[in-house]
Amino acid sequence: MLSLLPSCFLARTTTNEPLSAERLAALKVGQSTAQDALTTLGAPHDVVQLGRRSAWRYDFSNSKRAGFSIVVVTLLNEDSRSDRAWLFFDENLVLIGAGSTLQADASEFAMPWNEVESR
Amino acid sequence: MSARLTAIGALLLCSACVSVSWERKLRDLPLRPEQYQQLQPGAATLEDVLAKLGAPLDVWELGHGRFALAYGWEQNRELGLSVSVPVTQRRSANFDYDEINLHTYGIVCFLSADLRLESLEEGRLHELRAMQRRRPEYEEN
Repeated sequence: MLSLLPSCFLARTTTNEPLSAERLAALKVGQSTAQDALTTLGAPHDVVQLGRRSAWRYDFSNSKRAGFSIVVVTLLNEDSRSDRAWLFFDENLVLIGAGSTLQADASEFAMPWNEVESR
Repeated sequence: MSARLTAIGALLLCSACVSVSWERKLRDLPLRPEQYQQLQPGAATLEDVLAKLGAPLDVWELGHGRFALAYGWEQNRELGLSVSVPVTQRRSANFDYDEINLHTYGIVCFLSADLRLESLEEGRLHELRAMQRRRPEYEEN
C-alpha cells in the first residue's frame, strides 16, 4: 500500500482573487458608473467593446485535480469552477446590467467515476 | 509463476512508452433547462437574462448594437491510449489515440440594440461563435 502512495497526487490551481458577493451587490444598475466599479472591484480582467457600450469581466477560477497512476494506467479528474461577473455599461459608462455566478468554492477533488456536487 | 513474472516485467518495461488514461474534466456547472426556457425572445431583457442565468462565459459584439452572451460548460470523459517509440537517441515518435470531446456545450443569447433577447440557441459554443463572431465596429456619432 505504501508503495502505491507516490503515484497519487492532488493539485489545486487558482487564477485571480475570489469575487466578493457583497462588493458586487453594492453596484446598482442605473446608478453606478464604471468609476464606481473600478473603486469597488478594481481593474477588470477583460473589457469587450459592444459598439458604444462596453462589458467588463471579472473572474476567479478554482481548479482541483486528483490523479492516480500505476504502471501503464492513469486516472485523472479535474474539476474547474469559477466566480465570474460581467458588468455592462452604456455609452456614458453608467451600469445597465450586471450578472454574477459564484461557484468557485464548489470544486472538488474526486476520481473520474465519483459524482461531484452540482449546486 | 514464470509467466506472471514475465507479464509483470513486460508491464513495467511498457510503462515508459505506453500509457492508458481515463480522464474526466468538468468545467463549470450546466444550466438547468428551466432556467433559460422561461426567457421569452422579444420580451426578456438583458437584466432578465443576467438575473436568470448569471454571468456568461463570454460576450461578443454582433454589430449594429447587437451582441451575444454565451453560457458554457464542459463535462468530458476521455479514454486514451498513448504510445511513444524512441527512434534515435534523442528523438521519439508519438502516436496518440483519444476519444476526446473538447467542445464546450452551452447556449448563446442574442440581444438586440434595445437590450431585448432576440433569440437563444443551444449547441457547441465554438460552432455558434464561429457563425456569429465579427470584429468590433467603429460607429460614427
